[in-house]
Amino acid sequence: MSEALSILKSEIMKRSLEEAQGITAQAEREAEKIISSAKRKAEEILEQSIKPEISVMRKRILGSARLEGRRILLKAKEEVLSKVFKMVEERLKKIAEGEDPEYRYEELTVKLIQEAASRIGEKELILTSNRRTLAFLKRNLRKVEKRLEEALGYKVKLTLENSPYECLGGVVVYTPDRTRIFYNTLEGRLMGLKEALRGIVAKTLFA
Amino acid sequence: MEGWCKSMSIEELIEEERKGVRLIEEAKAKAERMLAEARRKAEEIMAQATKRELIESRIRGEEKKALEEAEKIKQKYLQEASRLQSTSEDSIQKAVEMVLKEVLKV
Repeated sequence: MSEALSILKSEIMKRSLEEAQGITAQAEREAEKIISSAKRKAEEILEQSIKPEISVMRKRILGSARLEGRRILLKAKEEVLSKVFKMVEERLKKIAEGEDPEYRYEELTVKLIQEAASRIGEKELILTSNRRTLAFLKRNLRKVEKRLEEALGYKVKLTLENSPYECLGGVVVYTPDRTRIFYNTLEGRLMGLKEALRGIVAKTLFA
Repeated sequence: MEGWCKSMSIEELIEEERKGVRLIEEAKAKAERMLAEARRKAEEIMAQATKRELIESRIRGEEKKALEEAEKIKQKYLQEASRLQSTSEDSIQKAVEMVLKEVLKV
């Protein structure tokens, strides 16, 4: 009898404990749910209230970084391009001084005069250039006139300006009344082509 | 004697049942307290969400993140710039020849 009673008592206690534990466990789950739901809602509220401000702030900071980056990149490209054009200028100087074996400056000068004369289209022209080129022209003026006549099909009278023109090389050609002037100096040609060539050079160097 | 024993056993069982009921009641009360505490915490969490300090602290956090991203972007551009600046002399020389050719094309 005593054993049966003991079994019954422990069964009652076991059931009660199980039920109590079940109630507590259920409450724990419920509490966790309440808190996590509150956290989620709070996050949504917070997110919504600061979203526009954060978006503006991010655009400002990242936009500024990209702008600064592009500026750095442009500066780097510019440095390399400047180096190229500086080297071209140095080469032009050497060519004009007859120190570049790849180019015959005297021949080039005749061609530059020919181009200028052809563009101006007058039969009497005045030439000027740097001291060295003027000296060459002084020695060869008649020959140059002859070359012009052959190339253009009509005689052109050339006169040299007494005062030299400050330039690397090439010529400045104008009519006696100075109404038409053609600047065909080497640096002038470089300047004229610089902008057009920048893109092509950049593509060659940085592609 | 037997009858006394029987009534003794029933009382013991009733007592055990009472103990069990008390346990369950205590568990229910504990559960109520837990839920009340959870609701209180939830209200606190919700109230925090609209507090200026929290908003500002979150914005500061996001700003820090954005600044780190910005630094990475800048570093990327700096690397690219460094790559451009180290363009080979051979390429530069080729570019010089190309420009010269154009300038002296008469």
